[in-house]
Amino acid sequence: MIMDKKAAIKEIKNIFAGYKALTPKDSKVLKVLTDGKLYELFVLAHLIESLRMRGFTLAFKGTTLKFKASPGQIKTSDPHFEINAPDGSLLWLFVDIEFETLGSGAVGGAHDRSRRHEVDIVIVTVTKGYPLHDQIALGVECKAVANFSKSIVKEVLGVRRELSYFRDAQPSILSTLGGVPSVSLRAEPASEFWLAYTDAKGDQYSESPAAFGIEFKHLQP
Amino acid sequence: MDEEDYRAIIAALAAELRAIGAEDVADEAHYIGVNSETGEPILILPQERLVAMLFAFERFLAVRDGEIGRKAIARLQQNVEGEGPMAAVLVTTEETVSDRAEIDLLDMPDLGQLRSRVRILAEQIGSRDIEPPPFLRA
Repeated sequence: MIMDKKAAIKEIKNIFAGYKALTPKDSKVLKVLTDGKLYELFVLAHLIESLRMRGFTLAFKGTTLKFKASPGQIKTSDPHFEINAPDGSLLWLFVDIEFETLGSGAVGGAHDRSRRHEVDIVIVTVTKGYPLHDQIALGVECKAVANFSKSIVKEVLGVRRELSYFRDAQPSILSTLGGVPSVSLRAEPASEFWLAYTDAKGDQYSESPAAFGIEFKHLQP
Repeated sequence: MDEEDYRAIIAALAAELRAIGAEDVADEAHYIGVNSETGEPILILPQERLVAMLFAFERFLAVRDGEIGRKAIARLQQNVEGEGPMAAVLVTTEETVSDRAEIDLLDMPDLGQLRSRVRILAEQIGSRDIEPPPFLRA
């Protein structure tokens, strides 16, 4: 098919007209789309499959998965995944959780807004309240943006800093519980930390953050 | 098509993107390369810019496509013991807890056909005409 300017513009207008016709008008529903929750669900499915392949057994507690417009604390009454590690340890996976930062603990408990940070998906060793930085075995940050930018890298570097100290490489928490293949991290505690994104440009920023145990995952629906 | 044609198409695309709240996709700051002779940042050529903008729009649609949610739920069910989640919702934040609403994530529109049309358009435009000059790297 030969494409000229007129035909290209016409096709663009038709595509956008189609999008507008399909897009929900309700502002709350629209927020679901703009908040990236569908992408979070997509990444969660990838993570669950990855955990199963590493030897973990998973069960869902509840009937409906509930994402939150505002992150909060862990409640066992919220739907979640129960994770049995190969060594028999029990872990839990929740979504849209805030954790108590490493820095807050270091100063004896911060009282301002720096006290907690959000992580989109967490695997934890506790089942209630705001998990401490050292109660997190794995965290995932999901970025459903069409264009990857360096500001995302700076943001996840900050979250990584509030999760762990930098140290010599050691097996990750999930690896010590029997997850295979073993993952090695230069972090204490050795929580795994994923950054999931749709734009392949993100791959161009992965090498330096990898030193701090940040795993870049280009997961495109 | 010449560069002026591509610029006209970019202008039309950017206007549509802004009209649906996708200003970030239209933002030229995302489409910058480097002139290897001078080291200066420059906008990538119009044809490449248009193709990159179309693929970014396809990613914009991808994370709003209800089909990815429905497939994700099926994938979750396949990888857990027992039934797994049957649905997924977003719990809104309201003035009181009792006012909270649950928005069904699996009830979002299927954008698969539109995404396909955007990819086809990008591929058609990307496969034609000019090659970038050797000094330009994206």
